[in-house]
Amino acid sequence: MTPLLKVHGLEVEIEGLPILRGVDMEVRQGEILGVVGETGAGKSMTARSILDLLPSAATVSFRVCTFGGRDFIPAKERQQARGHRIGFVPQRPRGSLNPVFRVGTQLSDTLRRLRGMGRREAKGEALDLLRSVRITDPKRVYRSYPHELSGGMCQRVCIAIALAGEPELIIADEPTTGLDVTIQAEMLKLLGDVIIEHNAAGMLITHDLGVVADVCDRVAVMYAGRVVNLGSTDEIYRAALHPYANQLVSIATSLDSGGTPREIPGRVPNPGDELAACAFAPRCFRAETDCFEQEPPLVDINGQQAFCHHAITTEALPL
Amino acid sequence: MLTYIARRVIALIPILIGVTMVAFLVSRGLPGDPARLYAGMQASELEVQAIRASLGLDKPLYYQYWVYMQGLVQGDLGFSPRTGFPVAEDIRNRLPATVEMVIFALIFALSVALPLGVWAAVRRGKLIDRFSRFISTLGVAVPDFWAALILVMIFFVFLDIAPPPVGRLDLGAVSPDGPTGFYIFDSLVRGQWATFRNALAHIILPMVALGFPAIAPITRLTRNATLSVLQSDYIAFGRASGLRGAPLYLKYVLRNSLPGAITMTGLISGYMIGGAVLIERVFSWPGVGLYAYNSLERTDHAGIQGVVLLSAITYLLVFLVVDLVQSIVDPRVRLK
Repeated sequence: MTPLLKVHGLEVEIEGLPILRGVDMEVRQGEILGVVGETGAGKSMTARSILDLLPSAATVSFRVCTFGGRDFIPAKERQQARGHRIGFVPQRPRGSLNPVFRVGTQLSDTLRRLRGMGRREAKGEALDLLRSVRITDPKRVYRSYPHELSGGMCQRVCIAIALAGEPELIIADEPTTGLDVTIQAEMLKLLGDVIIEHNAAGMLITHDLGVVADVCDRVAVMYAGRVVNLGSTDEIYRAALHPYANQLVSIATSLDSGGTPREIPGRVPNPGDELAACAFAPRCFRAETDCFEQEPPLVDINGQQAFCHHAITTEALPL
Repeated sequence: MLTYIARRVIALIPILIGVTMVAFLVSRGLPGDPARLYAGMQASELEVQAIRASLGLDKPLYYQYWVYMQGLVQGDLGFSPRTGFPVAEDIRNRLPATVEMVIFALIFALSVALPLGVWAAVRRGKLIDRFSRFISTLGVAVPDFWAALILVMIFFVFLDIAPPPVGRLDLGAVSPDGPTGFYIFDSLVRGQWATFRNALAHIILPMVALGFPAIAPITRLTRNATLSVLQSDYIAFGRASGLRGAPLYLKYVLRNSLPGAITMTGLISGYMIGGAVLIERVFSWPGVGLYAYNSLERTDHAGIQGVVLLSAITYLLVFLVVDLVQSIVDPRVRLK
């Protein structure tokens, strides 16, 4: 089956500094792909490249970018997909709604713009959308201003706006940032459910692997502007090939079981830092000289892919 | 809302009493003897004395102020020996001319400044941004009366496409008999098309001269506010949801960039109503500014006090209106 979204060799530079160094990933029809990695790994940049929402100082290039079989390399194609074919759920939901317009106005405006609805029709559809994101009193929320609503409520509204154009893909960029910890899990569950109900696919960007396990079908692990490990959530959790992904998973699971995680030594490189052939090598417990000198090869086992000289295959498992 | 307005208006009273004192003292401190001016150069000292007594100027200051205030609470602003009319009536006759010009000047200034400010921010550093900075600098550097003179020179003297600067209508034209005193509005509702066209032609140059300096600060404020709005999360999300072009900038961006421009417009309109003195002088515009100018020239105490008081009231009311408008534009602003 051809993937819904296919991105190959995505590179982004901002003022000469490489931010993304060849991102490869694909989102299949009907699946939710988790994109994880530490801050600065390039997760949001990847999402914004797909929507052509990068700052004007950035230069973007794709080797391949298709969406539903269409060439998405021309920026115009990607711009026209915003809202229509790709819905976007932001981080910091309270700040993401316009403070001077009623929530209902913003939602109906979106419907009128994306689906060419009349005023009355848009209002009815807006109330339905609010109901579909489990808002129990849609009429009150419709009349409210963003500052009168909680963060969680604002995020539900943002999800409704993302759904307004009946998109095939929903990209959620750290959708729980800025929300109370108590409702983060509920919000992600909702997001996952809503994506399925609306027959869409999802790309969920987060730095929390625990979140991914509950909602995502597959996971892409990013490090220093590249996807280093990609596979089904089960596979990644059971036996991630890439040492970085493997350690992230063990941190997440030991946090879940209340243990003290063993942290990864060193720090994430900044854009412009001198990188080894494998950017993770300086922090990696399996690194040898080849990691510093030669580009890591693609390892593909059980449908799980990783770029690594010394991938943790079951035969070689040290522990 | 209504109780809020009532409270604000009541709070104005002590301020206005202060204003009357200052206006009273300042007008007495002006050089020139109104009795002598009124009596004329030929009058004898005895006649001047008599006039002084009839104007009440021989009484002590505190008593004169007391008399003035007694009249004021009954709406009597005093009598102008210069025009021979009560000051309240003088002002009532001249205020519409000034207000009409100010309204046109503000509409002109805003309709240039708001789009220009937004556009300059969107195309930051580009040609339009540099053009807006040029306009802003020009607006600050060019005094309004000078702009007025240049406009008259170009469009009346050289090009001869503007009417002569002789007031609100051609000399000898009959003013419309409308209810408001705003010629353009009155002639429109009465269907007096010739008068309407005439009034419109006469207001264009003063509108531009008075409005042009206002473009500068409003453009700059709008541009800077828009720059920060464009950085905001809600505009990023709006774009990601497919908003762009004119609906994005003129609805979702502009509404958030407005507060600074609204306050500035309020300040400017307050200034214009009391301060269009030189513009009115250039265009012989029979408004409050010209009245103030003539009152000052003739040391007309009552006239000066009346204009100062009007100017103060205008300012204070404008601030009230500004606050009300802010609360409409931005629902987070609460009136307390």
